[in-house]
Formats: sequence, structure tokens, C-alpha cells
Amino acid sequence: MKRRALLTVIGLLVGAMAGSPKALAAGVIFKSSVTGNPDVKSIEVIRFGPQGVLLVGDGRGSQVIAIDTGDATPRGTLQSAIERIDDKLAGRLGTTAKNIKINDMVVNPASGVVYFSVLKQDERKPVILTVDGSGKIGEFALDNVKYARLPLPAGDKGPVTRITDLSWADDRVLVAGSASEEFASKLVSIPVPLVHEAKGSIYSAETYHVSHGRWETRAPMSSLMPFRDAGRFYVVGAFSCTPVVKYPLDELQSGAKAKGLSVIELGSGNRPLRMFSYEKDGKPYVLMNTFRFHHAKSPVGPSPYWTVRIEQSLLTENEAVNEKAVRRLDKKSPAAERIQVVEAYHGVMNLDKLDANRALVIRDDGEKGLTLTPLPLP
Amino acid sequence: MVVAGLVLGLVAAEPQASIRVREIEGPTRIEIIGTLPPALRDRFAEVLSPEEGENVLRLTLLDPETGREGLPVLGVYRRAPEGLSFTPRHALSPGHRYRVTLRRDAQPPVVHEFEVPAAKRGEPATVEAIYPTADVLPANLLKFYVHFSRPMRESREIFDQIRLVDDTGRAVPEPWRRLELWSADNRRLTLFIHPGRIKQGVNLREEEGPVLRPNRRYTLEIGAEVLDADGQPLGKLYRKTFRTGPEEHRRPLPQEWRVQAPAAGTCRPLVVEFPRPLDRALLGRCLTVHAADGRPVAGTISVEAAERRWLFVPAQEWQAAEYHVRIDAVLEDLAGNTPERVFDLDLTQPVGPPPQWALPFRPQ
Repeated sequence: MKRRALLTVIGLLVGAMAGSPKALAAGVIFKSSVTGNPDVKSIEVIRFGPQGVLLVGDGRGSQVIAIDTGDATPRGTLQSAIERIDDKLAGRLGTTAKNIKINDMVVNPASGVVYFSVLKQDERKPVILTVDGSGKIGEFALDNVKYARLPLPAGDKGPVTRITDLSWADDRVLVAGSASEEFASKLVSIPVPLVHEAKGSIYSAETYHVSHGRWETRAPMSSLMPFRDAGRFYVVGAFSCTPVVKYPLDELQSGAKAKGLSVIELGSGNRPLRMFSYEKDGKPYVLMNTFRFHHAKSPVGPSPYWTVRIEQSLLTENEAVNEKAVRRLDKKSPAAERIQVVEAYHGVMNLDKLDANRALVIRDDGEKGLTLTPLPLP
Repeated sequence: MVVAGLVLGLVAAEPQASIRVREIEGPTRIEIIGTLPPALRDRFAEVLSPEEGENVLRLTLLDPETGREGLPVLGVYRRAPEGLSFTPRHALSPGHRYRVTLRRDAQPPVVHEFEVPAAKRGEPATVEAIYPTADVLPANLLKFYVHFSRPMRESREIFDQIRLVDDTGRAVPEPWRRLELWSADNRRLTLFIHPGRIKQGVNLREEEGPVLRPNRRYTLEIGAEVLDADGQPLGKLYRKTFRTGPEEHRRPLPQEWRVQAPAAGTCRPLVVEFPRPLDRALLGRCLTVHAADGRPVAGTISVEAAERRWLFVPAQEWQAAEYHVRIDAVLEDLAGNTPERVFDLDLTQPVGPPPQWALPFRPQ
């Protein structure tokens, strides 16, 4: 690692990443909003901004709904595991685990309360459930909330119909989307403060293949994370099979193509699910869980769900990129050692940062079902 | 047991404590009223917190396999003239058994169980169409569309319930991109073949090989176990068998299409024919007809000849005037190639001719 790059990373860590949004003065998050029931068609992704602002990714409605939850004071974090969390969430809805689908989970950093996006199948109804620090399950009802609707622009590439990830990124909200008809990678940037009914800017993201210098393609981002380095603003996207790519966004005009730099290659047969940054012993890392669709053939661990810890400094690389990017499975490369599989996280289907030292995960425990549990950050 | 009618269940315990289950809207939308002595009732505010309500009156689901009681069902607690009213936030699930428990200070609890009748099952959902419909598909085919007769259940298991079987009877391992893409009404599923096994130069294809190989026979199988939104399985296996041709790495260029102008003064269809099939869903929205001044012409689209022919019937008669068909850049062929670029851009190859984005015609 170059000394200059290391210094840059340390210098830019504060508030630069998802999960640690810059403290905004109260009232500046919403420039305009309305109160009522946002007409949500689906809740595919949920994330938090500062001050308890919940971002609801609704691909079917081709919109993001930013909701002022009012849940903005610390209420304690979950200390112990909840076994069979799917049974328990379903029970609160008056149904069985077979009749629900857990779409997403997120921790509200302002309060410590966990939010779940759940689909009640028989009614085809999206619901938000909460788990507080004592393990009590409630519902965050959308009947009468203060919100801003942020319609996703279609650009010239058709509407976004599926949101794969979104993130609060200081002065904007970033949304990665896909479509159910055309193969496309859609990236939307919505400025903050949020304006009800204001559309953001849309970019198309192009990726250069790490493993072969000759090809360039469109690919939908599975997971994203904002990242600032050396005065530039990037979105870091993770894709199936599994390049981690950074796209400079600060100089882009709406409608332009964002050309990515592949910085890490995690190996084929995996689909990244979720990532966040954190710091441990003064060193910044990124934690990412993935689904291995080639588990039966060549497993990484006992479960198709496995997690990797990446030294964040690898993202600052600007020279060894694309075909020269660091590959996790390149045993000859010293840089590959900076990417570690986290064995204690095998089976983790979803994860978020719970506090400075712990993650909260949904883990597939096989016969024992799904467990919601805090785990120490690796 | 649920009794049809307004009052579903009435458990008399003692004169001052009983449970009444009342239908609001069918058997899944109910109100439960726990009668309480006035002295107890008067302790409550008009609307109770969930915690306060659950201490007195709770509704729980009984697990169909173990009989175990679940967590109290979420809902709204209100003081009622007879005692306490509870309305669940969400519809109860047909075919399941529930327990109501009413607690009153030191008294033994009053318990009432009832079952929500199973919904009457109609005919199972069917697979109405599978696109592309051609018998020969490019080996780098990007996606299928499966159309169902009813809304279907969202489930990650769908990617294991739908299989691609080769001509040796072997299921192709992991062919799909595991991202559920349902239409708004949950009746159409888009199944992307994993792009990492289509794209050239991507490690997955280099290591695993492509999903489809040229000059082979394959069958797409939609398993009988695929569930509709109510949890009823298809009950029958659906198949589409096709052969594969070579990979398609050319752009679908509109200048290569044939436009048959209709007769003026009629509502006969405008016909556009393509040398090879294009994406069915995108053909429904990526070709539009405009008058000379750019005004869109209203009409109805249909697609024929295994997605090689597009027809447009105008809402009003054609004029003997200039019109044009506009092509949206997002239009794809079966391999994800667009008029603008091929699915995989080979940086060593020269860029070809620009696409013609409007095709003029004049009804005579």
C-alpha cells in the first residue's frame, strides 16, 4: 500500500461512508414533504439516513420514499439473539413464516431499532416491522407519516422496476436499480435536502471486465456504497461474479455514462448482497456478505452465504485497476491477504452495522431456522 | 370452530367475562371483543398501547404443525362499551387456527379458539405463455418471460423450481440470475440467464462455460411446485423445448427491417418485419408511430411470427401523409444486443454504422 494513499484514506474517513452520514442540522433533510400514506407498491430495500430518516426503495413504484420516522433518539440495541425470527415476525402479522418473505433489514443508527421489510404473501402487502433493543416486535405503519416521494427518472432507458440497493451519501441519496425487461445498470443520484416529487439524475454505469481487458459491458449493481477519496466522490458498486468497482460521480452530468474502475475481484460464482464500512483498531474495513450460487459445486464455507472483510484502503487504488485489480484468489499476490473470508459469519444472509463494535445479522442456521443475532465486527 | 354469520364465536365463562369474534369483512377481517366488568374496563384510555392491550386480550396463531402459540398478533386496542376491542392490523390467514386469551386481574384467563376457514380453491394457476416463442434461439439467449394466469408468490425458491434441461436429460446447473423480477401484477416473471455465463471475458463463463451451447436441444421446465400468491401450486409441469443456434453478436439495426405501409383511408395494420426475433416485452413499448409533426399516433400493437413481425392498428384511419416509426434505443434482440451496441462491447472491434432511429412510411 502506498503511503500517500494510506494517509489519504485516514484523512478522509470521517463521515465519508454509508452508516456514518454527516451530521446535518435539523430541518435540512427535507426541503419539502407531505403527510399521509405514501402509496408504496413494494419495499425491496430499506436504508437509513441521519435523524431517523428511513429510505424505502420501491422498484415497482419506480420511487424512493424518504420517511421521517421520528425514531431519532437512542433506545438501546439488541443484546441477544432471537431464534426463528421469521416465525416471530410472521406471528405478529397473524400468519406463518411460509406466508412471509423478509426482503430486507436495517438498523436505525439514530435509535438502535431494527427495521424489517416484510412481504405478506397472501395479501401481497409490504409491511415494515421493527425490533427494539428488548427484542419486542412492532410495526412501523405507513398510514400517516411525514415523507417525500422521490420518483426515479426513466431517462432514455426505461423505468427502474427493481431497486437492488440504495444509500444515504452525505449530500445525496444513491439508488442502484435494474429493470425487468431491458438489461441495464441504472444509477440514480437524488440531491439532499430532499424535495417531495423531485427527480434525481440518472447515470448508466459501464464496467470493464477485470478478468479480460477486451470487453466492456453493462451490468446491474447488486450492492453499493458511497466513498470519498482524495477529494473525489465515488460510488462503490459490487456485481455478480464478483468485481468491486468504483465510479467517479462528482463530474458527471445527468444522463452520462459512469465508467467504472474495477478495484477488487472476489471470484466467480458469487452475488454480493450487502456491504458497509467500519473501523476496527483504528483501521477501516468494508464488510460484505455474498450468496454463492456455485456452493454445491465449490463451497467457500458450510453455507452458500459467506462474508468477506476487505481492507478499505484497497478501494483507493487508481493504478492497479481493471485487469490489474487485486484478486482474492490470487495466492501469489500480497494484496490478496487484505481480503479475508470471515468464518464466524458463515450463513449470514443479511447484515448491517449495529454499533461501533457489532454487526446485526440474519443467519441461516439450517434446521434451527433463521436467527437474528448481533456479532462482533471482525 | 367458526360459525358463519356476524358473530363467529361466543364463549360464555361467567356473566362478566367473555370473548366475541365478529367479522368485519369476511372471516379474515375480524374484531375481537373481550367483555370485562365495568370497573376493569373503566381503567383503560380510549385507545390502549399495544403492551397494555396485550396484557389483557391477545390473539395468537397456533402453529399448524406443532400447535405452539405464536406471538400476539399486532393490532389496535380500544375501549369498547362491553370491555376491550381488538382489531388485527392485517388479514388473518385462511386455513389457520387462532387462540384468543382474555386475562382479568386474578381471575383464570378465558380462552377461545377458532379457525378461519380455508379459502375455496379454484383451478390452479396456469402458464399462459413463454417468450421467446421461436423454436430456435441464439445460444447467448439472455432471458425468458413466463406469463401466468394469476398473481404468483414471490420466492427465491423460484430459481430452483424452474429448470433448464439439456438433451441428455441433465438440468443445467445454476442457469439463472437470482434476482426476482415480477411484473406489477405478479403475473409475469422475467428470468435472466446468468449474464456472467453469457458475457465473453467474464470469469464465470471462462470457468463454468456458457449456460446454453450452440446446436443443442433444451427444455425449459416450470415445476408443478411453483406457487401462486395464495399458496396453491401449479400442480402440473410446463415445458418449452427449443434448439439453439449460434451466438448472436450483431446489433438489431432498424435500417435492416422491412416496413409495409398500409393503405390510406383504412385502419389496416402497419407491419414491420425483422430479420430475426426481438424481445417481446420491449416490442410492446419501444416502437412508436408518429405523424410528420412528431405527434404520436394512437393504436394497438400486436406481435407475430415468433417475435419477427410487429403490427400496429391505428385508432383512426391512416391519412395519405408522411409518418414514421420511432425506435427506442433500449430495444433488445434475444441476446441483449441493442441498435446502439452489442451486449458485450469488444473494444478491439471497429464501431459499425449508426442505427437509423426513425423509419418513414406513407400510406397510399
